[in-house]
Order: sequence, then C-alpha cells, then structure tokens
Amino acid sequence: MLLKTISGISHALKKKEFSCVELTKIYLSRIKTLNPALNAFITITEETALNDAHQADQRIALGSATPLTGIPIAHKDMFCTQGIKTSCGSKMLDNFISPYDATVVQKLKEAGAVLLGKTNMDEFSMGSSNEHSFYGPVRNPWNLEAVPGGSSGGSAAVVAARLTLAATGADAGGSIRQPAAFTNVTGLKPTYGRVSRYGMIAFASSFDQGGTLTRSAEDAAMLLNVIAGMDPKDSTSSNQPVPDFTQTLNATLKKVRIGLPKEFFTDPLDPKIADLVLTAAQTLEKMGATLHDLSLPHTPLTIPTYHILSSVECASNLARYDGIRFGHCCEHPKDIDDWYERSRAEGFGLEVKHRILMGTYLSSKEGYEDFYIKAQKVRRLIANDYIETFKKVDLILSPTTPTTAFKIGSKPNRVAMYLSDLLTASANLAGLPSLSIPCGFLDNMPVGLLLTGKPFDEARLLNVAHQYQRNADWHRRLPKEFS
Amino acid sequence: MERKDILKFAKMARIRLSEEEIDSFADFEKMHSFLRQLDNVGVTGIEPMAHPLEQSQRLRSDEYDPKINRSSIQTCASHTKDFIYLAPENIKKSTD
Repeated sequence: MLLKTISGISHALKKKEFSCVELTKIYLSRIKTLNPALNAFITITEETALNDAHQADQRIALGSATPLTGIPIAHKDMFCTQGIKTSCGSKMLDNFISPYDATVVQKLKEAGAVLLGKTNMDEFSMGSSNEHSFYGPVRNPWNLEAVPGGSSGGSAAVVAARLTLAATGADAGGSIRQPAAFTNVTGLKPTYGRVSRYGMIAFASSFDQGGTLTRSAEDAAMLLNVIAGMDPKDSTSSNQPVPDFTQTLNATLKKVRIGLPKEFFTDPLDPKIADLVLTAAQTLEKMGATLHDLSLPHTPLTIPTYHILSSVECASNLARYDGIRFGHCCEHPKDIDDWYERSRAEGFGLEVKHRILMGTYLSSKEGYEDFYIKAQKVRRLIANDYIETFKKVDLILSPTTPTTAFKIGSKPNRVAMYLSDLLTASANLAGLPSLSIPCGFLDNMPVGLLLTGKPFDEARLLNVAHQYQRNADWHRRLPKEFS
Repeated sequence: MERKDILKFAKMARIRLSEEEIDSFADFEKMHSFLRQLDNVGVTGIEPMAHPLEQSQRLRSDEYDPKINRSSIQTCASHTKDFIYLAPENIKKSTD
C-alpha cells in the first residue's frame, strides 16, 4: 500500500480491493502514530476526511469517479479551506477560518480527493527550513534532527513519510522543490500563471505559484491535470491551453536536448551532489537525450535579486494584516496606531518582521531606485539568459540544492539560509516550470535533480522525469522509521 | 543601519519592535552588503521586469457571490457590530 502511487491506488479503489473509507482510516492511523515525531500537520481533518471518503465510495459505486476520487491528500496551510483553519504557519492567522475555498482546493474537492489535513510551513512561506513556523519546526523523516526544507516542509515530510499520497505546496523561490529534494519526493512548481493563486495566501505575488509534492512524476501529472487552468478569479492565471499531462509521459527522449549550465555546478555546491546529478544526466543520455554544456551568466545574482523583489512584495502584501477585518488583534488597544502596531508585533514572527522591514526600506525613497528598480532590471537579465538558452536546448538540468538537508538550528545567519535557494529561485524570477526529482543519496540523505523548462512546457519536464523514474528507483525508497 | 533607522522603518510598517528584536537587526548590514552585489551590474537600456508574464491583467465581472457574504466574512473579525468593523473609539463607545 505505501509503495503504490496515485494511479495504483485509484485502480485498486475502482476494482474495490479496498474502500476509500478503509484507505482513509489507514492514513489517519499513520498520522496519529507518526506525525508527533514530525510535527508536519497543523490541522488534522479527520471528520472531513471520513466524510470525503464516504462520498468518494458512493461516487465510485455510481461510476462517476475521476482518477483522484478517494485519493488522500493534504494541503499546505496557506491554501484557504472553507470552514477549516488556514493559519499560514502564523500566530497572526491562528484564529482564521476561511469563508471560502482556494481554487486549487475547490478543484481537488470536485475531483473527489480526500482531505487529511493542513500541513505545517514557514510562516507566510518565508523560509527554507520550516524552522520559522508559529507551530514549531517540522522534522525530516530521513533524519529527525534535520530540517525538511521550506517553506512547504510539512507537505514534503508527509509525502516522504507516507502520511498521505500527495500534497499541495507553493513555491516563490524554491519552496516546493528544495523540500522535495531534502525529503526524496517529486516536487513540481508549474509555470507562473498555470495554476490559480486565488485563495493562496500571498507572500510575493509575482513569484508565488501553487504546485504539488508527490511520490512520482506520474502522480504530479495527474494532480496538475486537475489544478491547472485559467481562473476568472485570478487575473494573473494564464489562458494557455492545458494538455493532458499524462498523455506524453511515455514519449521518447530521443533528440531531447538537455542543457547543463556551468554556473549551477560550482561552489558552494557539494561536489558529491554534482556527481550524483551528472550520473542521472548520463542515464538520460543513454535513453536518447543529448547533453549540452551552456552558461546562464547572471545566475550568481539570483539570490540578491530575489530577496530585494520578494521582500518589497512581502511588505506590500502583509500590510493587509491590521487586526481589524481578520487575524490576530491585540488586547485593549488605546488608539488605532496602538491597535495596528501591537497586533502586528504580536502576530508576526521575527523572520517575517525582518522581511517586512527590509521590504519597507527597499521600497522607500532610500532604496527604491538603487535596489528595487535595479533588481527589476537584473530580473530581466536573468530571464533573458533563459530565453536565449531555450533557443538551443529543450530543458535545463541541474542539482536542486547545494547541500543535503542541514541540521535544525545550524545556519549561522540569514544570508547563509537564503543561499539554500541559490539553484531554485531563478526559475521563479523568470516564471518558468521547474521540477525536482530524487536522484540518489549522500550520507543517507536524499539528493534532488532539478529540471527547468520553457514556459508552459510542464509536459516535457514530466515526460523526462517519468522516463528517469522508470529507470531508477530512488523515488520509491522510504525512510526506515516510516516504512 | 542605525537604531533610529530601524525604528523609522518599523513605524512605517506599523510594527512595534521589542529591544531584543531591535538587537536582532544587527545582521542588517551583512544583508545590506549582500544585496549590494547588484551595484556593479550594467543595466543601461534594460527595462525593469515587474512580472514574469508581462500580460495585461483581466478584470472580472462585478457579480455578487452568495458564498462570500458580509456576515460570513465578518466572522473573522475581532470586533463588529451591526455589520460595521469597530475601531478602538467605537469599541469604547459600544461598551460604555
């Protein structure tokens, strides 16, 4: 059961090998037993899950099931869920019960997925380790002293530990892919605009993109089939046609051109990670793909550019938390300024305060031209690098992270933490689809391989990842304590 | 960045900082110099890029959605009365 993917479980449910309720009870039991060691769920929705499962069984009996009917999933706790707490990992929203569903939530609900719960995350998606949650850090199933990555660390941990079949996540600078690499799961950040952001609590609006954490590329394709598409409620969602992403999974890799950018294989990358990633690239070459060395020259500027722009967008987005209409409100405010300042002081954690103040500074007259506008120009240089590169290759292959998962509390300062996203954030700056898949282990900790593609070419990434996973079994490996 | 600058930006952001939190901004200079890496990049003639899609944003029709009504939205607020959000002066009056 724990080794099965969505298609395997879906097939078994339709053949009535077990019911959706039975399946859901197995997962709820695992969550009760194993989640305390991980702290990966903020809310466990047992009643909702059993109700969803009962309805899914009825739907299967009526012959109206979709491939996701009865499939247990979890949502990152930044997707609004009607009637269920949506905290975004923050004290600010600890009391927030959303009056509506995010579009991603609604679509998965309509497909018949079973909601097991809401997963822990870095507060307001700001972090690369899941140490910045009001609800405490999440632990990595492969080593409980290590971080699972962030900000979608809870979603990554519950998929890796088999506490759910799949989970949603969101990625502004690597927040799906970095935790996927740290926990041996498949993490997909679609093209910006491919998936509706309606009902996703905003951190940095020109970067945020909803996606998936799954056991395989095939599972990711099945979920993307459901959550992708134009949404009238999100003016930034794209009206690009949505293909059936499962249809091209088995396409041949012959003549697929894969680029290896030299800037992604240098310091501070652990050379042993480079070796594992290059071995995986050679596997793809044996399957017919061609490998091409290339350069993305502005890559070293990725992290400062990302942090300038995302901090400004963060300061703007989080200005809405005034303690009046929703969110934490201080006791006995003297006047309106006291209300705002104390509610925000009490509601936000330290990392969020740092980013808001940084963003306030960078968008003030002191920082606007020298930092904010400059960073927007450098963003274009980085995006232009990709445009030129995709004239020569079909996709780009690199490591997902410079290191494997690090120990909780081990990063000495903010800059060191921010560099965790060194290899992932450029895809967000350019709005490109990007996918991390397991490609080996280093000192018993998982290593991720990153595939980044042309805008709206998720099908190609999923095809290459699926073909790799047919020839490698890294993604099927389970952490001992959770097998 | 000096203490007075930190307090200025905290005031602009409407966040009251504790002494301990002010001290935590000691690494601000390290972050600032990290961001200064962009100083030497030539960007003459480069248009700023605010958004990856660079498409004009659609407007949606202004229609009533019965699932999102005033009372359900106001259940999230700490102080309301007769469908009005209460601010400190109103709260004082409403409890007098």
